[in-house]
Order: sequence, then structure tokens, then C-alpha cells
Amino acid sequence: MKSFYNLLSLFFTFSAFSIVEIDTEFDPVPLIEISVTIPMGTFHETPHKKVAANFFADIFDYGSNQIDRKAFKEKLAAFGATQSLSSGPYYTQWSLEFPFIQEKNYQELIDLLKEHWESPRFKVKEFELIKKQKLSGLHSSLESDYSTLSSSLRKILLLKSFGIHSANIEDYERLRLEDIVEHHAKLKKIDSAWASYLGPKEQIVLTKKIILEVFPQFKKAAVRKRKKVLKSLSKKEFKMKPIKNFILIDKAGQNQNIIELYMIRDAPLKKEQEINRQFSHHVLTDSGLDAVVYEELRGKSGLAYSVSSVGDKSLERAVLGFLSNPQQKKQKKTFEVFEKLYRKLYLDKSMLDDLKATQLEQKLTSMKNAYILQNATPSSRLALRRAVVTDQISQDYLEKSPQKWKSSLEDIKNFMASFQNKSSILLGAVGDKKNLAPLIQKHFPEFKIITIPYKKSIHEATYSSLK
Amino acid sequence: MRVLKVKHFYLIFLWTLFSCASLKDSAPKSSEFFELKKVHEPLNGLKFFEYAHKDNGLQVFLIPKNDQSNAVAYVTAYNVGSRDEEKGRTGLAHLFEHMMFRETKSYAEPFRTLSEWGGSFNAYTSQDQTVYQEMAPSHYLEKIIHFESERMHLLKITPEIYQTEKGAVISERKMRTEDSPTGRLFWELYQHAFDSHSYKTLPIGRQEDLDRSSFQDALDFYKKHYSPGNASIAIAGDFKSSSALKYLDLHYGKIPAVHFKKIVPPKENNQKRQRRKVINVKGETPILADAILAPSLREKELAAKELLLCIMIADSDIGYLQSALIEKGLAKSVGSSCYPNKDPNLSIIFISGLKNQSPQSLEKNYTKVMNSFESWLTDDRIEKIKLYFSASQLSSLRSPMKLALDVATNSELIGNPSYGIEMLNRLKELKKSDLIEQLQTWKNKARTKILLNPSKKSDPLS
Repeated sequence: MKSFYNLLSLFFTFSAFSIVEIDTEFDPVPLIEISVTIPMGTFHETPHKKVAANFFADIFDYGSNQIDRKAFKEKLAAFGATQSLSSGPYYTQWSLEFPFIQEKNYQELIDLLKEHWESPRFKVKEFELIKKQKLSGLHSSLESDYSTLSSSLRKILLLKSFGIHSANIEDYERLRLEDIVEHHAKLKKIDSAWASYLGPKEQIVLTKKIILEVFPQFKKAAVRKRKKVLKSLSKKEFKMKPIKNFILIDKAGQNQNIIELYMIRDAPLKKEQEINRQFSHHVLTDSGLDAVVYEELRGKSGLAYSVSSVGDKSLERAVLGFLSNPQQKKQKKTFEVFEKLYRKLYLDKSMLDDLKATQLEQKLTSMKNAYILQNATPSSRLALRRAVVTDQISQDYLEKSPQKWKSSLEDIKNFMASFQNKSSILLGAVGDKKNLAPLIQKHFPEFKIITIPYKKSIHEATYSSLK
Repeated sequence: MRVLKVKHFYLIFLWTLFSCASLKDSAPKSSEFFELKKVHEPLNGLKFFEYAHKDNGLQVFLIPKNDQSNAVAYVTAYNVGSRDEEKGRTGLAHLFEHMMFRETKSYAEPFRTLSEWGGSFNAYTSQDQTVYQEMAPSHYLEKIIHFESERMHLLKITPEIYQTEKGAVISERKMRTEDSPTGRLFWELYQHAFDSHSYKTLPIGRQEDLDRSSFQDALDFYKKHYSPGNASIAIAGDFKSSSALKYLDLHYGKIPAVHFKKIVPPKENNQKRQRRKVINVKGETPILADAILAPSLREKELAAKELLLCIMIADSDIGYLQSALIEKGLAKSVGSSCYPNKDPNLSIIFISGLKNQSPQSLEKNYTKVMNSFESWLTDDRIEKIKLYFSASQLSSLRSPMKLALDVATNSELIGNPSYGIEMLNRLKELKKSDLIEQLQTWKNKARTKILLNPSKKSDPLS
């Protein structure tokens, strides 16, 4: 009996892992849009080699082993087709689009795509060219204080827990062509995926043929039934020690500083908390000029330049942040405002006390309406379903009618309290240590100051600060 | 088993009822004030319904897409643009677009109201028309219809509001026309290319005309042009036609017709001489614009040939100049503006040069590479570019807003809501010989060239 169950489970495992499920939106416009989302991205890479997935997406654009980029694009253009590949933290996504013209023979297109997927252009010339471009881009991004600070804060918060971080100069310098080849080989072995199709109903047969022939790792392609639960493609672990640090990137001679606060919750959220999370971010930062944090920064404090905020959409990473870039004469004022915001949000939790019930109701209505409009086109509806399989939103959130969403001031406050109590908080600034350190000590005495010297290897310095 | 059969019969009965209801719902033949005029099906499976008001001349296009998106796109295209402005009174059409976001009888703060509906809203004024667009959840359809009907005949226009918006337009003019190299390029091009037609002055208007315009001018403009017989409405998305008609009856039904004589702009005489002007403009890179007077929307076949030729030469992704100039490092970027208008208008190719490049060197490179264009024009390339262009156009038809825009604007521009899709079919039929023929016409036409020379100080505006 036990071996029967083992066989049965083996059968289901095999079946499950060789099927690609195609989610569909039918539309009479004779244009075919196909995407295949394979669950492998930067998260699945070895630490310190976290650029292979992104690099593979770039080199994929350079044609196949047989023909170079220009000739490959010319061949695709004969079908009016465009193809692209992108990589995210948890998945790699291949997309194809072409107008459907009856008299064409599509086997030639399929063979072209298949040959490309099987043998991308892994040549030293292209590899070195992309590497050079990437490094040049990273070096010039170091000119921007904003991106330097932002990537440092995210790296410190996310590196150990999620395996997501933006690329390093050092990572690219270390990268070899063999790493990309290895990544591609692993990608070709992944035999479960979520696919999407948008186009006339009759062309679903051609779509299945394209997917199965281009990606031979999938044995069967089946159209997903509408009510079937979307399965998550990714598996994540959450390990994070709550921290309270102030990252000071020491750069002398600055007229303007950047200051940013970034919070992240250390544990996965329960699905029933999702509406409250979305709503609290909407109220605090996402509802444009009406958002509470904006109002505090811009309206009440007159910090009316380059104030922006972050509200991460990912289901299991509740993130809240805001930043400002004051000129030196407003530096003291900005620290005072950030301290006030930090206390109102985190310590006495009074941030939402002034909000009236009618204002809250209006904000909830505008969030519901914005969600409805987000679903207005067939491609955006498919994108939302992709967000479920890649764990960015829950199936409940996708399917529950926004008209049924409920949240109250009490709900948001409770959510914020649970969020704040388990969060890591990082504050950061780029500027002259001489001026900034006393301000940090005065306004944020409970934070540990980590100073990183401003230099070209700032990313590596960020790593070192973690050790 | 018996139960199953009964159940099946019941389901078939329900399905039949539903089918009949949805068929009926998809196109009621008439309502109290509207009559179904035509069912359009420009693409297999893409159907929409044209209604006309029985008295006041308002045209309505319903494009229900039973996609359960719970969202609707609403477009109102008014048949008034800068082409309808009299000499000395330019800028009024655009100024009025600003006024339309001010108070109506029931909506004190339209910006706030539209934001609360969660919708996106926008408007633009072109040479031929003024267009207002809203996107909102379907349950706001009646409110949108009510709001737009009030904008059509119950807008609150006061001297104070007029002065405020006039100030805003003057600032916009400075920012987008006087101080922007691209804005400046287009302004100068039209000023030099046209002699008599009102296309000469772009919608932003002449400064002296804006200064001179009065509150009474604005009021007269509104009463005349913002009338039901001068507008087309298109609604696309998740809604029931019968409900939409009910709301349209309620809010647009009793708006009276306005009869007025449209000004016919003076005809532009066939240009005989070449026009070329070098203008000093504050900036770092030279820009060249090369334009000819192209066929109007009514000259369908010629307009299609000119459009495809222009795409082949100057499309910013795959046109000839992209490979002949940009990829060879002879210029920075290339673009075109060549969709036909109501009257013959400019088909424009514009090229941005490199830093420290002179406009003369940019012009020389452009003239030189254009000598080899004909040999580049192969059947294979023509087919590829046709497919590429089709893909981009078809893709936009999937968005309810773009579909509604296409239908309403083409209805007002040329009286044919399917013109955009028909144009795609016309392009599909074109062959190399058509393009060679059009190329000869293009080469032989008198042209206007504007060269912006980057310098420390700008020349005064024409």
C-alpha cells in the first residue's frame, strides 16, 4: 500500500512538474501576446553571485549562438514579432508578441525561438560588452547620492533575509561567462511554469504549440480554468533580526543631503491582514498629495521639494519608507521633522489620530476605485494573476470584490502596531559626518550609527558594515 | 436522471433568455431621445453601436466589452480646435479646455470629484478638435454622464475664472513654447510653413491674441462650440448599453440644438518655394525639422501612402534614418509626426543632432543619407515595417480608453469612427511601387525646413 502511494505521489509529482498552465484573456484584436513565467530568479542564486539572472536576461537580447542580435531581430521582424526576457527576484519571464496573419507559416518562427532558447549567444565578445555597460552604469549611479543611499539601506535590510539586492560593482567584476551558462542550464531544467495568453480564442492551439516546442522542458500545456486556485511558484524564507541603525554615508562638501527612513516587517503577513496593509500604505504614503506622510512633510513642514515615499506592494514584505533631500540650511528642520514622524509612527503611534472618519472613507473609496481601474485592460488582469503566482499579492486579494473590502481606523492602527513592533528600522543620510553625526545623536539617540566612507566601492563597504 | 434532464432544460431555457436579453441589451434600437444608426464591426468580433440624438445632433458610440472589468472609458470629442479660430483670436480653443475643469452647476470642484471616483481624467486640444477623457469604475457611469453633460451646457464661467485660466495658459505658453526647444521648433515650423490656413498658429495661440482676448470672447466660444451637434461621445468597457442609453437620455436628452455656421479656414495655396530658416535657440544640441504639406484625411489612399512612407523614413525604432543616421553616430535621435488631419497639414521628420554638431552639418548628413533611401526600400523591409506598425496599433485597441478615443475622435474628424482601423487595412495593401511613387511626390514638393542652432541666447519668437 505504501509503495502504491509512493508511485501515486511520484505520478502526481511528475505530472505537476511537467505541466505549464496557461492563463487566458480572449480578445478579438488579432494580436497574440504570450508570456511564460519560470520560477527562478535572483533569489535562487548563490550569495555574491546574484547578478547571473539579470545578466542572462541581457545577453539573451543579443541573439542566438548562430545569428547575432541584428540578424535575429530582422528574422523576428518578418513576423512582426518582438520577444523579451526579464528577471525578477523569484522568476524569469519570457514574452512574445506578434500580429496574427493567417497566411504565415509559423513553424519558422517557432524554430527560430526554440533555437534561441536552447542556445543563446554565449560569446566572450557580447559577454564583455554587456559587462562593460553594466559596470559603467553602476559607476555612474554612484554619482547619485539618492541611489547610493537607497541601495545601501535595502542591501542591509534585505541581503540576509530575502536574497534580494541590487547588483554590486564587485559582483559584476567577479562574474564569468561560465556563471551565465550554468544559470541557463538550471533554468532549462525548471519544468513547472505559469503562462499567459492574450489574443483571439482560436489561436490558443498555436500558443500551446509555441510554448511546448520552444520550451521542451514542459511536457504538457493546459489552459487554466478560471476558478482554479493559482499556485504560488516561489518558496521563501524569512529570517531577520530586528535592527535599529542609522547609516551615515560620509561625503564632505555637500550642499544638499539625502535623508531616508525605511522600515520592514520581519515576518510574513497573514492573508487577512492584506487589505489593512494595502490601506495603511495608501493612507500613509500612496495616495499622492493627500497622503498623511506627504501632508506632514510637504504641507505642514514646508519640505516641498523631492519628498517621496516607498510602500512596497509585496505580500510578505511590508515595507514603509519616505525620504527627503533638504538643502543644508534646512538640514536641522528636516531632522526635527523626521524625528517627529518617527515618533508619531513608531513610538506613540499617533500618526493617524487627526484623520477624520469621512476622510478615511474617501481614501478607502479611492483605493478601491484605483484597484478596479488597474484591472481595466486584459493585459493588466493577467499581470495581476501573475502577481499571485509570484507571491506579490494573495488570491483572496485578487478575487475579493473591492466593493467588499473593509477597513477602519482601528484596523489600520492595529495593523501598524503589529507591523511596528516586529520591524527593523533603518535611517540613512548622505552628507558630511561632521555636521550630521551631532544631529543624529540628538534626534535618534537609540539608533546605532554605522558610518560608511563615500568612495567608489561603496557597495562593498556596505557589505563590510554588515559583518 | 430525470432531475438532471429537467435541470438541463431549465439551464437551456435560462441560457436562451440570457442570450436574448444580452442580444437585445447589446443594441437597443432606440431610446426616448436616441436612435441606433449603425452597427460597426471593423474587426472580426469587435462590434460597436452608433446612436444619434433625434433632435440635437449629438452622436454616441457604445462599445460594451463584457469583460467583467467593472471599468468604463468615456470620451467626448468636440469638433473644435485651433483650426476654428479666427485671425486675431487664436488660443481660445486651448484656453477653453482649461475652463472646462472649473465649476459646473452641480460640481464645485471637478478635479476633486474626478479624483474621488478614482478615475484618470485628461483633456487635450489639437488643431482639429478638443477631447475630454475619463476612466472610472462602471458604477460611476451615470455620474460621468451627468458631469460631462453639465460641462457641455452648464459650465460656470465668470470673469474671475476666465482671468485665472488665462494666466495659467500664458505661463504654459512660456514654458512649453518659448522656453522649450521642441515646442519652439514646432511653433516656428507652422509659422513658416503656412501662409493663410489657420493651422499656421498652434493651439497655444499668439501672445498678443491671448492678451487681447476678453471674457465675452470666451463666453461666445463656449455657447457656439460646446454644443451637442458639435460633439461625439464614445463609451467603452464593462457596461450595459441599455443603462448607458437611459442615463444619456436623462442628462443629454433635453439639451437643445445649437445652430451656427462653422468658419471654413482659408485654403492653403500650393506652396511653390522652398522655405528654410535657421533660428538661434538656447540649448546644447541642434534640431532639424523637414516638412511637406501632406494629403488630408479625406484623400484616403494618398494619406495612407504618405503615412507609411513617413514611418519607413523616420520611425524612431525601425525607420531608415535610425540605421542610416543614429546607429552610425551621425545624429542623436529621429522622430516623425505624420498622421493626416482634416485639411492638408504637415508631414514632419525631425532629427536631433549631437552635442557640438552644427545644424548645417546635421542637415548635410540628413540630405546625403536620404539619397540612398530608395535602394534601402525593399519589399521585405516594407512588409516588416507594416507588421511592426500594425502590432503597435492593434495593441492600443485593447485598452478601452484608446479604443474610445479612436472611435470618438475619428467620428468628429472625418465622420467615420472606424477610420483608424480602416487605415491599418489600407496600409496592409500598399506595395513598393506605391511608396516609390509617393517618394517622388515627397521629393518634389516644396518643403519647409527649420534648423535650431544651439546658442547662449534665443532669437525672438516668430
